[in-house]
Amino acid sequence: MGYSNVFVYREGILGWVKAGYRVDSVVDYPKVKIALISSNELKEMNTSSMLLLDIRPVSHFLNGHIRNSNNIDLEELHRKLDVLPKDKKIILIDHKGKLTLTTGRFLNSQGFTDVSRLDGGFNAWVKNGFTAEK
Amino acid sequence: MRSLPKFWLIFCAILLSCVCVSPVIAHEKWHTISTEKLAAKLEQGDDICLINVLPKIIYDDKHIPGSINIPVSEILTSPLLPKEKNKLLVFYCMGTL
Repeated sequence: MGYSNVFVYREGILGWVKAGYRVDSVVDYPKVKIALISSNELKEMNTSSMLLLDIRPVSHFLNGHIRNSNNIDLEELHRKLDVLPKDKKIILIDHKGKLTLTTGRFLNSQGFTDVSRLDGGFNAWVKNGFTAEK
Repeated sequence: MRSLPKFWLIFCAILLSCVCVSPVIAHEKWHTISTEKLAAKLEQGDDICLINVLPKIIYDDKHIPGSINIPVSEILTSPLLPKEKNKLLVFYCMGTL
């Protein structure tokens, strides 16, 4: 591609906000609480009537995921809302729990009102020693 | 030699993906820019292409003013990348704090 002057801003949005700089928004998602569920709690839950929604890229999902979870890459989620049930509890799973609050609020804005998120994401699940399926 | 910049861009894309996944992979070999330097460049109106590589849903909620959104999976094919090959490109995602 020929670009010769490429940098990475490692601190990212979190660092930018922490330093007190202004951010812009395209949409104001409702500032609703998206409940956190710990790995231990999820392990003990009967999730048969729920949707465990893993929003990591498919390559990561295929490399290991929580049993009975379904995958929609967050990059695709806004285009695939029609496959999500509005009458089921949705539990969001990402890598580390950094993206699920905003994702939950986005889903809430789209009419999905029973949304929770896995605290610490898939990494926390693995760190707790729970099994991952491939 | 012509393939080196392309390699570097691909490397950065993979790297950014990794930063979003695990800060442990963070590495000193990358060309990085600090918060203060980035803010100063934006304040001065320097010619920067600032690229947020997060998914659109996250970008829509919060992004650095002036940045454009090119999700990681689209970086190598996006028409939003500048034509000027010597332009300063700065990629960012959620961050490692």
